[in-house]
Amino acid sequence: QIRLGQSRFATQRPTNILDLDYSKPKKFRIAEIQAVGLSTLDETAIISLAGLRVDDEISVPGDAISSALKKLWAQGIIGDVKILVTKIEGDDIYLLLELTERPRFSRVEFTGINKTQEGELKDKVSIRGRVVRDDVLNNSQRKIKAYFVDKGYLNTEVKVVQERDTTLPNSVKLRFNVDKGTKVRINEIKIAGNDNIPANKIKKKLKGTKEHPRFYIFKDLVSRITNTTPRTAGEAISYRNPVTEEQIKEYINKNFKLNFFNGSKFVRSDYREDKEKVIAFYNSRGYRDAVITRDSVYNYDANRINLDIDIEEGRQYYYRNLTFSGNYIYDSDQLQAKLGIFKGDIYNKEKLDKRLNYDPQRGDDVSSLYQDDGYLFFTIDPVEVNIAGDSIDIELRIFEGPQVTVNSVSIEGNERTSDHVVMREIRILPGQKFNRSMLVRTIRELSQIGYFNPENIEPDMRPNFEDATVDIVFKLEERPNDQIELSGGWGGLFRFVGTVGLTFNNFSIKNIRDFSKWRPLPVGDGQKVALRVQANGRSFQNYSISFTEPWFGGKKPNALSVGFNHSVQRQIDMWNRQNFGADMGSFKITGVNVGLAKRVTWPDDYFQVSNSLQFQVYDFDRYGNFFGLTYNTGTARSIALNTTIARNNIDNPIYPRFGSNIILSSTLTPPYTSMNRSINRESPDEVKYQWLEYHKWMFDASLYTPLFGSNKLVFSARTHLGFVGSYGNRIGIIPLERFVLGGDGMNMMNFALGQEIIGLRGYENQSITPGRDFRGQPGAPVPYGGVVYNKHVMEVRFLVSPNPSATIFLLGFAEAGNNWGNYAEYNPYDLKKSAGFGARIFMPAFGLLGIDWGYGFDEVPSIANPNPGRSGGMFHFTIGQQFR
Amino acid sequence: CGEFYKLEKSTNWDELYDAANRYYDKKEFNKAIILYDRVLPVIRGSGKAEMAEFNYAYAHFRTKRYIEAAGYFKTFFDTYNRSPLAEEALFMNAYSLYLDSPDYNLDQRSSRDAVNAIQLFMNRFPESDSYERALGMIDDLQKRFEEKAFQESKMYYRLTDGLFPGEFYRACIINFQNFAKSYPDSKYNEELGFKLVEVSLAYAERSVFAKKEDRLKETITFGENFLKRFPESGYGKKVSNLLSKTQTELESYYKLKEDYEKRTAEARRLIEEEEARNRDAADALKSAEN
Repeated sequence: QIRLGQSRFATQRPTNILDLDYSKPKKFRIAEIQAVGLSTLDETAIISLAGLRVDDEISVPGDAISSALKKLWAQGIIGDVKILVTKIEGDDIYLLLELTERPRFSRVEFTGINKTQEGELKDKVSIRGRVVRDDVLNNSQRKIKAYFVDKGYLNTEVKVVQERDTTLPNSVKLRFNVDKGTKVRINEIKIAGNDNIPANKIKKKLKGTKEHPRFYIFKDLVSRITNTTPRTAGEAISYRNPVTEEQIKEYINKNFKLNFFNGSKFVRSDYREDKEKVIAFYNSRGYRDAVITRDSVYNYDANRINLDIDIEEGRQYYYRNLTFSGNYIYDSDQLQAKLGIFKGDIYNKEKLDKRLNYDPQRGDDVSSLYQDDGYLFFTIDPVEVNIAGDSIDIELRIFEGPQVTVNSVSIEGNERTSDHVVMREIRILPGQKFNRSMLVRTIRELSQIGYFNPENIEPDMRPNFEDATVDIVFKLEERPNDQIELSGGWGGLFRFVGTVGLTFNNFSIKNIRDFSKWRPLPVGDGQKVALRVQANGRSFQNYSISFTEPWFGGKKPNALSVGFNHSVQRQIDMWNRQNFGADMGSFKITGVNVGLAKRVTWPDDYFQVSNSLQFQVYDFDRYGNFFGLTYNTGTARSIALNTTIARNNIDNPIYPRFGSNIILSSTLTPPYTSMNRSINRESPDEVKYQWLEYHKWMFDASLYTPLFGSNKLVFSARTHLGFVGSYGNRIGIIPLERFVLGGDGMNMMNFALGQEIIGLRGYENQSITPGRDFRGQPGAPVPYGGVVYNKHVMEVRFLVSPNPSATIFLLGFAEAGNNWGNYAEYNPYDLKKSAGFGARIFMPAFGLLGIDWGYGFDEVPSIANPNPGRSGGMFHFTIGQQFR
Repeated sequence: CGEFYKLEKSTNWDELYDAANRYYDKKEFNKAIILYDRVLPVIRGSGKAEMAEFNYAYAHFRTKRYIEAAGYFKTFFDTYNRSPLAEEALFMNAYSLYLDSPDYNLDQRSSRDAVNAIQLFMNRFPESDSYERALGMIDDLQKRFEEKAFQESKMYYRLTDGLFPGEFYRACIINFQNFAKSYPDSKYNEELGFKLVEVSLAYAERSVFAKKEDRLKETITFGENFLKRFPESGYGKKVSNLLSKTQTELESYYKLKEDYEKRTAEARRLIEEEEARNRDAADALKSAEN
């Protein structure tokens, strides 16, 4: 008998060993295979699993046997296996599979955890059907424990209970009893040895390891008072001990920790990374030798731990001589100027790398000189050639390489979006010299079309040294981009308001007919379909549908849009008991519009010009006097041509950090009064406004810039201006399409049809509107709404969570605006001011949701209340991106 | 449904196994999958396992979960590669991937996986009855890749009418040549070959003076290659026209160049004369001063 297989548990060697020459494998034919030692398993099945068959030709020793063993072990269902040769007759070989069966796990259960955790753990611990072995058990236990430790339950204990499963022979039921205990939080982080950098700065670098919030100042004061002796009291009162700023900071740091946004759980892997960050931070301050000499984690009480971190800072280093070598195209002075780091500066490896390789803030680092001009293989390697005292000499070794041409550009990962929708946005093209800034711009623009996760757009360069070309593959990851808006809210006078809105941002009209391409809707051609219904019963309803093809004709980014909308506003009698709910009048607007927006390349290629033609019917049913019209029931119509010129180069639509957005628009109707000379000021309103005649101009500019070089703190300034006018003075300015200022600025909350709603936080909705007091009076002395308005906004925004599935930011604002009923009163310095703060959350499915608290500093006079006070503080809720 | 609910909770493995097979036979594949999920780990290594695993993969296939089905067919093949069902499993692995691979205008990575799987099947079972079918699948996928590349070329061509014509002319010149390299036998080569001549002429015409000559010559090369390769082509006449146009351009370029050189020489001569005169005048002035 020959033992061929390596047995894991075999200790004894078979007695009669056939002599086989291991150095000369020989070919045999399998004459017979048998398996022994089986009770629940099936012989044929096992032999089949081994992948051996009678009449197979195998070489012994050889691959066939070892692969058979491997396959059997891989199943995880046997306790042990040996493959033995029982007989050799000429070229025939007789094999015997000697198996040992062991009990197998038939069921796995958990106690002490919830359903979600159980679901996740069942995937991690998939041992059902496998053989009972200690290593399998230990491994599973470890996995379960690690799972909870990662969630901050450091004291998790896992016990295993094994039971015979009576439903199946030779099997075991398994129960993991998990006691996860309470979450362990970090009480305090003690940092020692930091002579030059204060502890709170270092703690800030521990991004994933934060102290528990604490607020001990009262406790501390009480203990100080109770422990005060007359002598120390005297000291405290006479200010004999000067207090340094550092001491104040230290005191505050010790007694407050208002860390409510960050959890204080302890995750070992995060902590490891955080320690590296601390060292990197030291390195960036010139402490090139800084090390953590010791750190320990120990229990403070049952649920809290303390961390000690001891640092040895070493000395601070400075640059001495910076020399370039290997540069032929640019001389050292040019490179030095681009680098922007000079002799005597604090040694900062991080900044050096940034300035050499890639500076995300400005993109004008040393590499950009070369890589924007085709030198893709350009590398620059800083070498410390000499360290003397606190001075470091650096030689910057350059490899310039050849100028590289782009050979092909392609995309990967577009599982829903058609190639051409993405490819047409790519700015780097075959035949061009490689250009890094074009590449960066392409990435930015691909993230702006919204179909892909902006954090995961990765260009993969596949260079070919021989002919100096490169193939670029953009790796993309699709993300859901459709928005569903389901909201309900209390809208003041109008009570409950419900909205259902659906926006499909990547629609495909072409695929509508082919049901097999629906996933779950026809998608992929980058077209946009938006449907929206908004209602609160009978008193207000709005229906709209629009379709946009962003590349009409497929050659240029000319967006064609078609839209239809219909709104109704009714006055319902709520007070009359006999006639409850009677319709006391309604106002309807029905409109269609067609528009074409063009991207242009002059003056630069961030510009867009759009034109749209809209036709609207304003239908009053016992409602006209709300606008100060002399008639109650009737119809007005308008045809207007809108032209908009916009320049937009903001870097990210959700949380802009750089760039500006400037929009100038005009809306013009034909001059009916010049065509029909019989109309004049004395004509009845039915005639004057049969076809509305007006021109309206709007200007909006917003600017974004990061503060202190941070990518979280952003300053934004906006200014808005608009006015409505008439052609000549024959009938004056129309009472419709005027400005209504104040409040949240949301159309849906104001129910103001036929008007332009502009928000001003800190004031009630519509409160800053001329003619407000006369609303509803027929032929009112002043029509409702302003003809010219101004608004200026300053905001400081702070990004709390950049997570694309829920982007959250906070903001503080100061704004001012006013709205005038005629040009004679217009005074751009007489503005209503307000300030406040708020928060925004963006979720892909819901869009942008916001809440603001604003305080209005100025009073809003009205006839009803001739001596009002300040407008005061109030909350505003917003849904969607507020444009003005 | 009550019966199925009871089964879901049952620990009577034989009953579960029979029920799973019964649901499978009744074509209630979703229910079969749920029961197989429970029973498979337990029966592994028994005589029942092989058929159950095969059915399990098929149940996924029948419910159009092609990715999963492909995975289970592959596992089946790897586990039971001596089984009489192994051939079918490997084919079904390839076929599932083939069915799952998307339209030409989407990411084709999974189509490439399908090609690899089909190739594996064809290498492993060259005698198979499904060999022809597999070959057809590969052909179909290759056509899809070709179509994708052609649509890309067409897009570049279309965008030469867009905002940045110059950039796209050059992109077309590179892209069309790459297409011909990747798909030498494609029926689209004739059309693209013609467009290459057209585009390269347009590109040359827009070029700065210094680069015009090379680019016009390149157009001539493209045109002559086209006529050589497609002598019977319907585009032949158009290409000849473009070629003669290019030739004229080239000649007028040479004329212009000659003229330009003459004029530069003339201008240079005049400048030199002027300088000489100035020098003489200065010398005269100097000697007069002295």
